[in-house]
Amino acid sequence: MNEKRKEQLVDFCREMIRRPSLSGQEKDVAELVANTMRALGYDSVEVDHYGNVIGKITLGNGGKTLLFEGHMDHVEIGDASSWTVDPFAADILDGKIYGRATTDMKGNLSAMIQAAAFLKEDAAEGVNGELIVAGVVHEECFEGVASEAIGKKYKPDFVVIGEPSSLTLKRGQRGRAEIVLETLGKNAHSSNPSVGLNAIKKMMKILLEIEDSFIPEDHPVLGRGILEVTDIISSPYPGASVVPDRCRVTFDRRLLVGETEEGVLGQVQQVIDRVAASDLEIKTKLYLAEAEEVCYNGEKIKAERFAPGWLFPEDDVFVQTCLKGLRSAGQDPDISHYAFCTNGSYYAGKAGIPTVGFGGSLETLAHVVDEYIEIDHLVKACEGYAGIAGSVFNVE
Amino acid sequence: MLNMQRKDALVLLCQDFVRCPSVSGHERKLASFLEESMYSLGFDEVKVDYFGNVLGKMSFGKGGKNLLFEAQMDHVEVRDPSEWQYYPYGAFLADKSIYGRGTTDQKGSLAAMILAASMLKHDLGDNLCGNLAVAATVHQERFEGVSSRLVGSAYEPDYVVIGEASDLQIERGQRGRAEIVLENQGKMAHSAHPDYGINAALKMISLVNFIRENFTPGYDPFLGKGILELTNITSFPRNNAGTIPDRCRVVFDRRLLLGDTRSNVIGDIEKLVALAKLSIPDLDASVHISRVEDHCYTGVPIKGEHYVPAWLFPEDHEFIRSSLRGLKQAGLRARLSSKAGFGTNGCYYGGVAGIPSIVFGPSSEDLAHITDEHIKIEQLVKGCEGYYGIGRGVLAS
Repeated sequence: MNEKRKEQLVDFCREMIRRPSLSGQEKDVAELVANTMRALGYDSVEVDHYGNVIGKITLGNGGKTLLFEGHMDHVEIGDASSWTVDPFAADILDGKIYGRATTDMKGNLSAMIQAAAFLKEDAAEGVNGELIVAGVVHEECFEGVASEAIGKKYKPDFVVIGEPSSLTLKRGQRGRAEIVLETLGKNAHSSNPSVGLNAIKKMMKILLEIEDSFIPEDHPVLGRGILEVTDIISSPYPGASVVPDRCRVTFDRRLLVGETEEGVLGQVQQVIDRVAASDLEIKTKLYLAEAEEVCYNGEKIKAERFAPGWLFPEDDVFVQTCLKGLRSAGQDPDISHYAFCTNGSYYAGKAGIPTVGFGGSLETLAHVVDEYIEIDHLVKACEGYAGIAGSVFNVE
Repeated sequence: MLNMQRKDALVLLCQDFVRCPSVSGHERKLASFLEESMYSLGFDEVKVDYFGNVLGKMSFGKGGKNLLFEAQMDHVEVRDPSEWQYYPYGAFLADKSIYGRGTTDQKGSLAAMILAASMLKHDLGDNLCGNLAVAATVHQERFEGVSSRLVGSAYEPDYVVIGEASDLQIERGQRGRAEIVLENQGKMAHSAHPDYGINAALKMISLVNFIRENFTPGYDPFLGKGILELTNITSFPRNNAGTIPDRCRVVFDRRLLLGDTRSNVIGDIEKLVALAKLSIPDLDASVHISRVEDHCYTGVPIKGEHYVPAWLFPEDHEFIRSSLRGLKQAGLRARLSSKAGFGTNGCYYGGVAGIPSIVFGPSSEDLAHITDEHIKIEQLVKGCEGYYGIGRGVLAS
């Protein structure tokens, strides 16, 4: 990449950082993405009903459809006073661009958008295919939901997720389910609890049984399919002198490859049934958490919290194609997997589309105060994306 | 004793009280109406203290006892008015009852007490000795005996009658109550990697289970069990996903028996926590009695902790005997309740101050705090006759 292109990439990345875009508030950055794609000569730019921006570049004739996907939203900055830089100024210090979303993941999205344009400028004979770059809304709380709309409409053959990977090639991740368990009891005045049924006590029995008998499955690559309590509350809340008739617990369940909603709920239900076998008063509701939010364009986005895990073998054809492309860009990446959940849960986990993750910057720099991306990583990510696309489109 | 005219006056007075909404902390309108009513009904002195309690006094002949009738002015929220059959502040008359929030808890008692005091003065003024005061107190629903403390120190009663609904029976004791809060501290971590942290909710579950297995409630043949009942559990941060909770809080409702003290109530739990630490690693928990703070309608802050001791007076206590005698003389069934009072209204006077106290009131405890709360007019009338009888029984020279 020459200096001019590097400068163009850095400038664009900084412009994106300067447009704050919490989940559901991505309007400004979405407009910038769409306008930039048009200015860069994309063949078409569309904005779908969720507000996802989808740019398309056609190279040659026929060939595969490759999707580069990055989300436009980011998490809160937390306590602004603990930042040593303005989180939305995109200041450059010591070769790093600072700001919220530099690592997660406007840096890599800007690299994808520019890489596609460079590919078109440099397009040689024999490169055939369709390259789609999508800027996606609402990833932070809804992994894979806005992506489903893109997957179904554009039907990519291959997907690259641009989450930060320290420039390694990611071939999978654990998925995530949010499971809600409620115990139902009966209200009574707490001075006379024996006429009521205390829902907290019933919940305790179940949680203790889970602690005793639930052994998470261990996957040699991805790790354990843990079931962890993240929230508990009794109702009425706050209750004054009342035996609570409800208690609700939320679990974070990390999913291994192939786990289904029924399987995951069934596993917890088994524990409940064991407890209920010796306690006839146990009455529960067990379900996947469901959430609904509003997109920046007013559209509602709603989903059950179930994002499956996925993993492709190291010798998978697409993984190897990507590896070849990255090597052609002068890189020699390790192959590993993500420690967190990404939009890959839809493409690979639900739709079964060959998917990898690749991006600049460290995974540990996501969601932190003084988030940054090294310009060197940003440039290498951009070169890497171009290399991957070149490699995919050169395959006969 | 209650002719038609007096019965009508009683019903009207109760209706007027119901028509002055007085949720805890907002008793101003009722308080000023009460002050005027007491003057016009012939009370010798009416004072409003800084919390906003209204204290009306009737003085009789020299010597004799200081008798106090106490009822609260405040009531709980109406919640959803559309679920009520009658407008909750309308005091509608139906089925020989008065409907509305506060009728049973305790505006009926309050009206009956005030009218009984007025009648005693009118009918028997010269034949009684001592003093009779009626205290209408603020903030009973959220504070245990805090406003009563001020009434008690201003008036120094020898005997107290609490106007809580008791089906017109005399209750001679109540369990005390402590609200015990148990909090623990864990260590936050991403929920994908819980091993890096300490899940405060799970530690709390183990701790509460340990306490449950090792706590033995005391028992008193009259007062019942000294229970320890879980009423709340909450983890923090609230509505959490993506991290494990680093803090958890549970609240216990502990009912107290005679002999329970503030320090042994906390100490018992602290000992169990210390024991639990031996078997639950990384447990960092603390115990305290919950505190409440609010403002009175006067603007004065009111503070208290959720702790009041139990109380019980013997059946043959002089005050109880003269009260029973008074009820009988008023033509009512003189009944001593076989069980302890439901709430904790008398716990300041009977438990903290050790002043001989009873609970006596019209209507039934299960009509308190409910939708379509009401009071039967017959109960209201008998309540007034009962207060009249108790007043006569105690203050007769």
